[in-house]
Amino acid sequence: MMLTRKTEGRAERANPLARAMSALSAKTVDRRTFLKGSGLTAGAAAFASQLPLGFVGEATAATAAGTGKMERKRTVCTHCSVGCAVDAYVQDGVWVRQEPVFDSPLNLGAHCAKGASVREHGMTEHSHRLKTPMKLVDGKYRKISWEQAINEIGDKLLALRKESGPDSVFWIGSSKFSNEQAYMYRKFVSMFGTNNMDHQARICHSTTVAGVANTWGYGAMTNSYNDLQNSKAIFFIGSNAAEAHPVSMLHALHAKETGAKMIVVDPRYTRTASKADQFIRMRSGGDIPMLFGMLYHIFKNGWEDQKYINDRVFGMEKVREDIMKKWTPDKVFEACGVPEAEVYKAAETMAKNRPSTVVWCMGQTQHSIGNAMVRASCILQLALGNVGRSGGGTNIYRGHDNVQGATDVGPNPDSLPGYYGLVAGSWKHWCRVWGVEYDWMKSRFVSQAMMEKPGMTLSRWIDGVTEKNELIDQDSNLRAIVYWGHAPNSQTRGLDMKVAMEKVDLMLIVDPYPSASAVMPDRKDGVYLLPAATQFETSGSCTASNRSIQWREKVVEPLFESKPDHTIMYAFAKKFGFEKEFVKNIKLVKDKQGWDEPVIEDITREFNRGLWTIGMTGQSPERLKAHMRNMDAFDAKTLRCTKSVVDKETGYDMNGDFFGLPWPCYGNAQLKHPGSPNLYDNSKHVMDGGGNFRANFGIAREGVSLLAEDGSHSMGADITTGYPEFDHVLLKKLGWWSELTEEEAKEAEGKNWKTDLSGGIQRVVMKNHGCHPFGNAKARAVVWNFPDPIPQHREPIYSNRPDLVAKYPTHEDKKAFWRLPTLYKTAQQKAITDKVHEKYPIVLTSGRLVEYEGGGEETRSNPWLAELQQDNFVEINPKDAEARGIKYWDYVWVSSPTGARIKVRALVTQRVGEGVSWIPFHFAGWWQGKDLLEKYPDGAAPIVRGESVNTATTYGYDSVTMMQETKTTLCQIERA
Amino acid sequence: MNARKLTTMAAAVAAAAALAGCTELSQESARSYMGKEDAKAYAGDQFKGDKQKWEQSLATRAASQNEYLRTQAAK
Amino acid sequence: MARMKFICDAERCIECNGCVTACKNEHEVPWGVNRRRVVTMNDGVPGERSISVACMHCSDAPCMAVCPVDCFYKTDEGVVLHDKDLCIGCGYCFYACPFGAPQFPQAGAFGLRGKMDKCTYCSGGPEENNSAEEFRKYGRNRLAEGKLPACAEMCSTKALLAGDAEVITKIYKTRVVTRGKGEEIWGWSMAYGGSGKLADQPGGRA
Repeated sequence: MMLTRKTEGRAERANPLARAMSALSAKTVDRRTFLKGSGLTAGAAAFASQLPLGFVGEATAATAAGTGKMERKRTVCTHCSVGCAVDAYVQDGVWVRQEPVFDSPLNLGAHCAKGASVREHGMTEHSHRLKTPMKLVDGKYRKISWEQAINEIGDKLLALRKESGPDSVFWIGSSKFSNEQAYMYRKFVSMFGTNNMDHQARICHSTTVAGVANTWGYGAMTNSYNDLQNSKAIFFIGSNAAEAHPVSMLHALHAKETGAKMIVVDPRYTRTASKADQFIRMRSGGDIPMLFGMLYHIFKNGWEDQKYINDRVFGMEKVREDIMKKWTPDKVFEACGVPEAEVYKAAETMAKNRPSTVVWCMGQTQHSIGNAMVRASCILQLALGNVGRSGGGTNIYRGHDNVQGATDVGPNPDSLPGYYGLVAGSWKHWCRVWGVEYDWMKSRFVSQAMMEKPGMTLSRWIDGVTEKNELIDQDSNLRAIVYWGHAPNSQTRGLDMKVAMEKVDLMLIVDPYPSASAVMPDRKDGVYLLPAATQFETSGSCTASNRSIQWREKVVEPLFESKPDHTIMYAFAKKFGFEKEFVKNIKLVKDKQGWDEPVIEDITREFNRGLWTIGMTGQSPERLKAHMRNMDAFDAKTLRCTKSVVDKETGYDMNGDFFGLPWPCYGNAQLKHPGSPNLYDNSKHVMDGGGNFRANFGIAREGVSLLAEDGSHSMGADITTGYPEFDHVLLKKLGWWSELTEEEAKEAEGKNWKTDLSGGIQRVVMKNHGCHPFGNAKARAVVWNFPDPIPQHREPIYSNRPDLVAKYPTHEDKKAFWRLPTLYKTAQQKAITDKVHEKYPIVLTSGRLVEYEGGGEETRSNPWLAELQQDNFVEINPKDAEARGIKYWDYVWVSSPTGARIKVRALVTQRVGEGVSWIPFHFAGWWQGKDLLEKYPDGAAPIVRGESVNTATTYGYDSVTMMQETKTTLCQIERA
Repeated sequence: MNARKLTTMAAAVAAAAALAGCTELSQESARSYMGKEDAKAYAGDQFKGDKQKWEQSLATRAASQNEYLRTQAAK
Repeated sequence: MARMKFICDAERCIECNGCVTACKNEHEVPWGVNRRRVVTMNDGVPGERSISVACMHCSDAPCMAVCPVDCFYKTDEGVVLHDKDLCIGCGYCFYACPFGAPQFPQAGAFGLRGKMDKCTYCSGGPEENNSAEEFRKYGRNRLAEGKLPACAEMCSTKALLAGDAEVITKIYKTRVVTRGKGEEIWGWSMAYGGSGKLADQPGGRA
């Protein structure tokens, strides 16, 4: 057995190693050397260039025996939401070693390919980083100074603002920002005067956040990766955790080892599936038939938790009637292709092995009915009484390292930080926190109406540029696009995007790498690239998927001419003339080049003063840093510190805290709320991280109470039945008002638990009375404010089954939906009329590879990762391949109904079923067969370039959130 | 890899191991090494020849590969 | 005396390649040279299993047996190392090795073989421990720092275990006993031969 993969007679994943191996020798590419960037001596450089052949380690040899002091910096991997801690060792300002952090309760030292390679950080002159500001001049990127960049870009944006209004600019922010930067970006764009901003969450879990929050209160993973260890059954649907969240599998496989049953439902036999007890191959987009098919058996056999439903769930009876009528086993099989026996088995496993948990990811969210699919998952868990239980819950794995945090506090077009929304009261709350006048804030916008109208979404900005002006719900079309820490190749409809990119007056890209935005459009000018520092070159907090917040120390100074995002924001704020308002409560320090940098800890403290809704008020920088220094104090199963452990630096005792103070961590830091490891868990006291479902939807509906039944409450609560959320009136009625201090009472007068900046209401309610500030209500199985209150299956816009489209058609078209007209029925019917399914008979779905992340620019520029995946490919079933004369690793053309054609390798494999294909979405840098290498700034092209699947993807958006439909569309494949 | 190959490989390894019946195999090579002498792993600055301390360090690191030790039940 | 071994738990390996990049990170081996790889069997169909493979540091190493210049040696801990100053890059060891562990970086324009490179169990080679020279030729020497190989220490699911045979057998045994299976896929005997029963392996009785 060689250390290669065998290819004979079986499918395998693309692996260039085999080829490299068979040749016995492979071309050695430019190795990273720290020398030029690190100030090591010229002598050492000369030595490195004369290395004898066959030796490893080249240049850093100099650092192995280096003279400088070795410093340890603790940071967190930036590649997914698991939150793996990393110890970076730094010498002479160079990151020279990376060590595992065994103490971390989240990852216990473990890393996937990405985490184990984060040290490769583009430190040398030969790296692929964007090193200086650049401007596109006559079709070629030229280096410019920061000063020139800020001035030219600022002047252009100010001119556009004056000419076409602030809504003419669309600001894409980033889930790669720290919480502090994401929060400042929301503030920054608000002060520019628009809600036209968004970030990765739109195309990641927006449907989850909306669906889940509307079901029971908060749009977040209810439990944690660690809590999987308490599960007796784990049900993955639309999640390939083994590739997308590899370290989460440490907990899942541990659970499996101790007896948990594992079920994987997916159109592909994924690596996660290979670890499952039961794999169910489902038709892409068949989530609701599958989940409701399971519920059919659960209800039929009386496996539901009747007491739980009675006490804590609203509307289950109606859902039950709908399911028993519509989702009989034959209908389930017809719509999602899963036979009754398999559905029954999965239902039985989940019902008889409680607590059981459901895990979902993009496979469930990225559909035109994603909001309904995620609610079907919630309903399954509510019926089984699994939510608010350790080992149960809906474990929704977020994507980026801080996509949860950016969703919580960052650039969302429909809400201010903390899900406060955009109504006048919300603006007033935040203006108070920011220390600015509400009227001044309002004056920044075109009008109060525009100030309160949600902006366009990331998934649709292209239509904001190209749609007819009379059809859009704002004055001007978009005239400038800002990609600040976001790849364009993760969004659908590449052909249309190119047109939009060419049409705008200005493109601004702020990123550590040029990203595909730099090369997609055929433009001669009007594009600027600004080098941003990575999260290893600054400090700040980030929220893992389980809501634990971790603090990153700065590992190295920003490389080359890059600047941290918040520093760049401040520079633009100055140019725009609102820098004083921007940092009213935040000190500035000078960085090494004399730039003003807002102090990160001050930003944390500012949002601590305002984020009462989600309890991001108790996580002071001091508490978070103490946790990072004492990770070994926390249990890897419960995440709790159960004894007195005192942080040496601050004297803070972590006794009782849950690691990273997972939000909600209510009250101010002095209240010492321990954080909430599992949401809605009424087996615990609220001051112990317990809770119940949120009263956020009124107290009654059609004469039925929405509050929890008698006897259903968090442990030790003074009110032993359901109750509404707390405000000054309720507090007075209950006679608790006098328990506020004089100062608290002054601030709390006229306020509620969300707007009382003193935290007094939260303190009295929780600490003195064991009640939950957001009330105690029922979860909603029926979400009456959504297009389908009871989740309904609807076929995707591009379906391969006209017969099913006839039975399960999509929604009616929408006007002025997130400021844009949006097609449903028209688009779906046109596809049927045009017989698209005959010309493009293969279902196309997309997903992740373990080696790359997101748009992939950063990871494809990392040679340790790039070497492992050198070509983009399409997974195609052997039968489909044979019918088309396609052999393993042939080049093929994948064409889509948009007319796009992309050239990728064919990975012939049984991973995908007949009639289904799958392409990873991390690639970019090719355009319909052509390598765009020459269009990148010199030396800044990623090592591996390839065709982006989203060049070919089609129209289709979720009916609540504008999530793009990437997981189910159609294509044709032919030999190239 | 097919089953036969696996078996063949296993047999090859097993044959080598079968030379000794007990678990402690002789680590002496039949051939003589012609290269430079290598220092003991615990000879450097860090352990200064303290083999016990070095072995303890390795044992601690090895134990960190066992996540069963990181839960309350284990403590 | 410690006997250093690797074992990969195929029930846990998820083919994430963390071990591969951990190795690249620690030793900065060039593109095309891979001291460690992940091998997958039955890819994409039920029964799919992956294991991470590098030099197995064999008890009776075939590479040592065939080397014409006798550049191999074995440390007290059972780690198979070699002297690159002596290596002539002939490639014999590559043909002898059942695991394909020896690697040959390209040297020069004609694709001639450079000196052999392979997994050192993160314990360097015959140069002063943790010296620049040792790093240049063999990579980091973690063992001399009291640490275990980076690949195993960073493994995403703790599938790949490294350390004294007695210690890691106990860890592995706990898992096999807890889940009641798994040994037959890629157990100790498959890796190192001998009895198939864990109880017969070093540390297995404890």
